[in-house]
Amino acid sequence: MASLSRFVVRRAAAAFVLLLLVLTATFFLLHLAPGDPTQLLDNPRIPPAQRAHLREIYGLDRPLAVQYLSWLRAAARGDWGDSWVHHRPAARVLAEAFPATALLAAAALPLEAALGLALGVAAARRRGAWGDHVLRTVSLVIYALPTFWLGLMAILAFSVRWPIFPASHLRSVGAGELGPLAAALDVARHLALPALVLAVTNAGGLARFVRNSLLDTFSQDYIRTARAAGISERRVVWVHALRNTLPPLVQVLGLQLPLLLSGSLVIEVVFSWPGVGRLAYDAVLTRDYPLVLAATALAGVLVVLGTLLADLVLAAVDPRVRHA
Amino acid sequence: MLDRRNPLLRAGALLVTLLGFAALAAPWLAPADPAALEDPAASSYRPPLTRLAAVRTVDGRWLLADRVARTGDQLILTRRDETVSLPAASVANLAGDGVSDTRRFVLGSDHLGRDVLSRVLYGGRVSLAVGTLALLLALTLGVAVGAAAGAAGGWVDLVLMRAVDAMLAFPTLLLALAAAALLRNSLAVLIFILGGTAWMSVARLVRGEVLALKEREFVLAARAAGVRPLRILWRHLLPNALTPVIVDASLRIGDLILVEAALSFLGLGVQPPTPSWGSMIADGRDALATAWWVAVFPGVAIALAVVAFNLLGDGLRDRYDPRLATARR
Amino acid sequence: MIGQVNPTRLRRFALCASLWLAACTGEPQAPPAAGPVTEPQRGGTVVIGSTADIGGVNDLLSGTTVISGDVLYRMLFLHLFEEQPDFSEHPPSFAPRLAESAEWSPDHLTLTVRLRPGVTWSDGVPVTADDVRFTWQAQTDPDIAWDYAFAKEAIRDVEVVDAATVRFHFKNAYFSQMADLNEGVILPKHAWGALPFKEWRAQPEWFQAHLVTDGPFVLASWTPQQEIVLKRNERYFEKDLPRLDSVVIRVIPDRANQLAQLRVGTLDYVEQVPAARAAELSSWPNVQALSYWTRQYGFLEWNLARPLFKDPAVRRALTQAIDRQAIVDTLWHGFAKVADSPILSTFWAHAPGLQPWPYAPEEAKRLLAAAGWKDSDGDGVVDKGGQRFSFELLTNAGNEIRRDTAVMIQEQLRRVGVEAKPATLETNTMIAQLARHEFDATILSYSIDTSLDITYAFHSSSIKDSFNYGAYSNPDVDRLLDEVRQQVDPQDAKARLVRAQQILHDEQPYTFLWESQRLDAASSRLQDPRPNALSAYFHIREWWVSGPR
Repeated sequence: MASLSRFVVRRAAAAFVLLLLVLTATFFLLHLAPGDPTQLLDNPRIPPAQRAHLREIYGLDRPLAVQYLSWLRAAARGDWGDSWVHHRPAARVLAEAFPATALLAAAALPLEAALGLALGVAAARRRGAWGDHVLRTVSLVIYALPTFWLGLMAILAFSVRWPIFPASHLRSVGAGELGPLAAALDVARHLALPALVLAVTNAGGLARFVRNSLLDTFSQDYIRTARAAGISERRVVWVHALRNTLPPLVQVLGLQLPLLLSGSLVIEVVFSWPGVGRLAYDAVLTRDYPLVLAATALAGVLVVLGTLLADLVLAAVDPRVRHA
Repeated sequence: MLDRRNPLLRAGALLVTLLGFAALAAPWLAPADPAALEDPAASSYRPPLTRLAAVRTVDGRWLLADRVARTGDQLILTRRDETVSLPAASVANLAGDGVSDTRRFVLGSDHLGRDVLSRVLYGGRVSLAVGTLALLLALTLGVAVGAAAGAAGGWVDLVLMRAVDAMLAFPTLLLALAAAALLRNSLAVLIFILGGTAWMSVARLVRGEVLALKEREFVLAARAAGVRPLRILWRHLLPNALTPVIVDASLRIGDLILVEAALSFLGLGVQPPTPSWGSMIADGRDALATAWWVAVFPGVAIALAVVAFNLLGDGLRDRYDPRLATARR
Repeated sequence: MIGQVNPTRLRRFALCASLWLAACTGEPQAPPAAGPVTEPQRGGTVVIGSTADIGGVNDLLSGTTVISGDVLYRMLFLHLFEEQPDFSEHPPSFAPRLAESAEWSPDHLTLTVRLRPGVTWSDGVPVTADDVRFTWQAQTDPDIAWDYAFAKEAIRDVEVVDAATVRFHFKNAYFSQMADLNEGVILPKHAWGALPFKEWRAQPEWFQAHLVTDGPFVLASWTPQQEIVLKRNERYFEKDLPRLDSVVIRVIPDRANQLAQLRVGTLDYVEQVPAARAAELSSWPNVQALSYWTRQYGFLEWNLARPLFKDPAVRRALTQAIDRQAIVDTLWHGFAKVADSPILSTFWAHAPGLQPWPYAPEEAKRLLAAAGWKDSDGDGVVDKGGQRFSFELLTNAGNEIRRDTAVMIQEQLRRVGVEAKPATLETNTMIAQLARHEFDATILSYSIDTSLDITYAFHSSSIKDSFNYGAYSNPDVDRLLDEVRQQVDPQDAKARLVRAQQILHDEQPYTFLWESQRLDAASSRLQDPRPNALSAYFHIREWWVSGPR
């Protein structure tokens, strides 16, 4: 459809401009802040001349505008510089860490969706009744629990007290020697706690949204008609109402991506999960400029992609959106 | 307003009021000074409901003990596994066979012997204050930008909304992290950062509302009557747009409290010695297996606060605009 | 310069310097291993937890994370000599490692080193004098810009005499020549000489692809940010060593997480356990606690550029107002002691007979009053000329002990009428501020180098661009520290260091707080770990395990 492809092009162009703005802002934010990586050399005997020399090597002694332009030129070529802490290309460092975060998000999203939908639908069906209040409160409580706190509790319960699940990493020591099925199981065991914690805390918010959205749909005429026509309640909810809730639901799921990224940052720190979030956190603290910029670019791309995808689905389903 | 069919609104309003009261009245409610360091060696990591005798010496020092016994002119103090004896003459607060002062650690004590309950109360002040002020900042900025965009339309709208989208493209925590790590830490900076990551959704919401209201009859009538646009905005559009904003605000403050807690937990939010729920959890992390109370109670407090504000918000929404389904960001 | 050199003293020193094995290693006791001590066994794997990843396999480029040093220096590569942790009576001795013997020239400007025969790289190529010269060239190359190149400043040339003999030529003689000479591991010329020095910084990854090593272990795999797997080097020159089949290092930034894993048996070694958890450790059946003195000391640095702290009498008052023993007891749980000098009491050049400043709040009040500080407005804080004695005390985020110390000091100073306001800053931000001398007071800790060089902190030339944040300047101290660097006989160096310490003790530019131990925790199956002040993994080639995980 011509209008759809035009829509895609417009949104993609806007997304690109957005990304550029975000990266520029990050660049200047980083460089205007006090301190630079050469201060991390923690042996006081290293003479100041050495630090000055290092600053020269990293190009930190050039004017800010010059640094920005040269960085931009390189980035356009795909060269995001070398991470100063890892001594390897920043893009590669991120690429190595990305699968872990993707795995975490991919495991958490369906769990979160399932739990959120179940809670939300159940609450909507029992609107006004006691069950609704209970379910709403449950959703609210799990939404209100801080992710990192729940992570710590989970470690305390399921890694220390009853050592069922491991508390860090993606794989056990020596997992390289396991067969494919055993290796997959090993990863699954390590994934269990972080993914569950992430899913549970986000499911609360999703459940609340689902409930409200469904109730909104329920009050519409065609639902009343369907009910009056004698269609079973179950069908009314799961087939008719939910289908119309789908567009905003998809939008919200698309918006879950930034939430998952933020949430995963904290989870990755608590569980020592080797993902992008933990990398970004360390990079900010060690003033590893190339890595922070590359991580921000990645995060920005993911968020923009997420919203783009959500909008696309919405546009595909709802023609009104395409012409907005 | 608080009708019987809306128990959530009632519960929410009640909880929020209680929280606000607890925060404001912390200096009077807290059994101890949250920063007081009295005899850390004896009082550190005490479990909830511990009661210790407090001995005040003549030269102004406090010594805490599990048990105090008087034998003749000596006072025997039992502190954990050790016994210390003091000449009774050097004790200022003798009372019969013991001393007249006690210290109660209702929720236990942390690694420096500070009362967890007091710190949770004072931490609440900080967290709630930061959250509220950040919210006000976000509301001000968001309403201003959103109303301008919605009312003006055209390229003003385009530019403003692109700026909003740009900010939204940043994962909040990463932006807050970077800013918190790079700027000089202070409460003001923290409020600025939190407000700065929350105003975008408000702007979008207000813009949507203003756009919808712009086409309503009473607005068209006012325009036809020649009322100036700014007046229309101020007198007619905003008051009607604000209802969903207020509902959203009370839901949003919960988010702000959670983000502040996460930042403090990561070491980049409220800095010690100011107590904050997030940093208390970070402190208690090391001792999770042996002194669970240091990390658990602040977490419960956070959850309680967020629940309270969300109940209030939900209740308000049910009451004023039951068909409103806001996209949670 | 040297001036008159006493030949007899020189010869005595030369003899000391060519000592073979250390007579006493000066390591503190490790608690007895759990279970009956049996014969060391060969085999097994040990899993170590590390909070950081290594920065690469090239010593010259890897940056300064401690684990990098441990892995490169104790596991993968070899030094010419192995510095011993026996510095309590004399400067540390150097045991032969790659080098078999060494002889000083009478004027102490030339050291002839004979390399041990039969040492090969992991690809079979023998280690030769060419490798030693190549290493020196790389270490001093300006394009590579090695952080420790300054240690080689006094070396004029490194000469290859024959395949097994190399000669170091110094510009001048001083008492720590051996330490400087030995700085940095020997690199493989035949493998790494292929890349021009100009390219080294640009291609840090090249070295892993062309890695050959000669240490007890070889690098089996490195999954960045996750784990490093090392396996026994079958070609290692010491017979029957290393005992372990492999060592795995797991990168876990969160220490609490590391301890949880030690407890359930997934990890075998955890460094730097917080002192507060020592009691808890002893209740874990499968874990042994290892405590040992380190080279670290903590202190409160006053900014002498601020009027509040200009007067040494005031600084002495402040020191006496701080109950350092209480801080040590509360926060270190017995794993530290009060410090009085930047040269720790475990070192040979520590000034004997320094009278520690007592905790004497009444005396502190008296001294403050004598300097004109009185509470004239009854607000609990002393003032002078309208200015209150109030200052900001900085610590960096992430260090709980220093942060808690600030809180305790605040309370203690309050009792003498001084207001301290603790503030925590993010580390980099704080360092930037200190470097600009924009602070009142801060709590820091340093690790003293075995060369005992303290110029970076107390010499007036270090005020600009170096670590003399407090702008301390004393011409006597400057002169003494300058002279120390030129002494050949350690006793002469010691005399000057002692005098400098006495001045610092009197003037209190720092209020010294503690000398600390480190608490490591290991699985009970790990035998004979013997960590020491130079490295937790000093004896890793001798580690062995009894029983399965």
